[in-house]
Amino acid sequence: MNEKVVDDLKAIRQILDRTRQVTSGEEGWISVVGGMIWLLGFLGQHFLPEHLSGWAWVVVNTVGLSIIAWLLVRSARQNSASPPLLRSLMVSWLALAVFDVLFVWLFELETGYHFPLLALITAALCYAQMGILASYWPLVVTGAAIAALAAGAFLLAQSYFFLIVALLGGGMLIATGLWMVRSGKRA
Amino acid sequence: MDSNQALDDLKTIRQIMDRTQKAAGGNGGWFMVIAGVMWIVGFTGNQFLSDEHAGWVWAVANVGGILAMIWVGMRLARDSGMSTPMWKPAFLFWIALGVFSGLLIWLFHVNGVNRVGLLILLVAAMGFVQIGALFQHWLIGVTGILIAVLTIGAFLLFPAYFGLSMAILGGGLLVASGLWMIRSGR
Repeated sequence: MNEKVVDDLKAIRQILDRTRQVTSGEEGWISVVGGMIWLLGFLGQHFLPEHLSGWAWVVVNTVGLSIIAWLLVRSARQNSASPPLLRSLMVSWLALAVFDVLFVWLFELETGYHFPLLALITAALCYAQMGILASYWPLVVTGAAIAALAAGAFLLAQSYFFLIVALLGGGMLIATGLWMVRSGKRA
Repeated sequence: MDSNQALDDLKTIRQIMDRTQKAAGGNGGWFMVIAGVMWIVGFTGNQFLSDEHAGWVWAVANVGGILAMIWVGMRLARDSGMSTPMWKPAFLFWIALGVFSGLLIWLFHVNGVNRVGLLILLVAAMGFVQIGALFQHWLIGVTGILIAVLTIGAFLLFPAYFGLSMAILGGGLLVASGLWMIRSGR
């Protein structure tokens, strides 16, 4: 059994190395688009009146999520190994989204700062989990940085919360994505 | 990566996953049984003891449970002749969920035994669903969904018996699922 386990581990490592080289480009672009959504949405929330910022979020989310869906479909078509993994990831992210909805409902969250704060902490968890499972530590560090940034901005600089989240959170996602795209190309 | 290479990788992954699922089913079951016993002891304390005493019961249950998990993990590693690299990501995955719970309790001022219990149980349920989805071990995922439904039902419908409900239903469900996994692993 031991030799079989060692062989399995070697095979997994080789497959992971190949897959990481292929997928880091696609994941990188998804991170860049996610960063753009945050940047534009939270900038709108800081600078626009409330009724307009709501519409800004709708437009930015619709366009951004459509691009992400297109990137995911393109990635699934290009790489036949993706669909089962993609399905698992989708279910995992759906569990996070359902948790957020339940949290808002059961703990009677107020609108305003609480919704984006919850979204940020959840996104940070998502990054950390994906990084842990893929042993891809830049994602874990990004998740930890987003959580620290969100908590810090919420507790220490609430009037600039949305602006800080837009510039640093969105910027960090874009930078991480570009770094992933670059390292994918280099590999 | 050409399509032949991808197909070969897929076949290899599927074979490894089948073997790992069979082997891990039994091992993962022991951890669920221990977690279930921790819940039964801790939540029974919540129901019948004062907050201070219940806190001590939880501390003892947690320390005892974690030590038991470490012991089981070491035994399983020794029996298989090597330390499997799966323990590290699994441990870090639950640590991340623990930090997430702590942040939510702190930032959203979640207080009260029932509300803190509700939050922790929902996070644990979410963790089970995620682990079930990511490792395609659907029994773990279904256990997570059932825990979430039972937790919300008990919190909303029987708040005065929340601790007892979670001890019997939540803890019992974990123990039963764990035993089922151990049996099917064999």
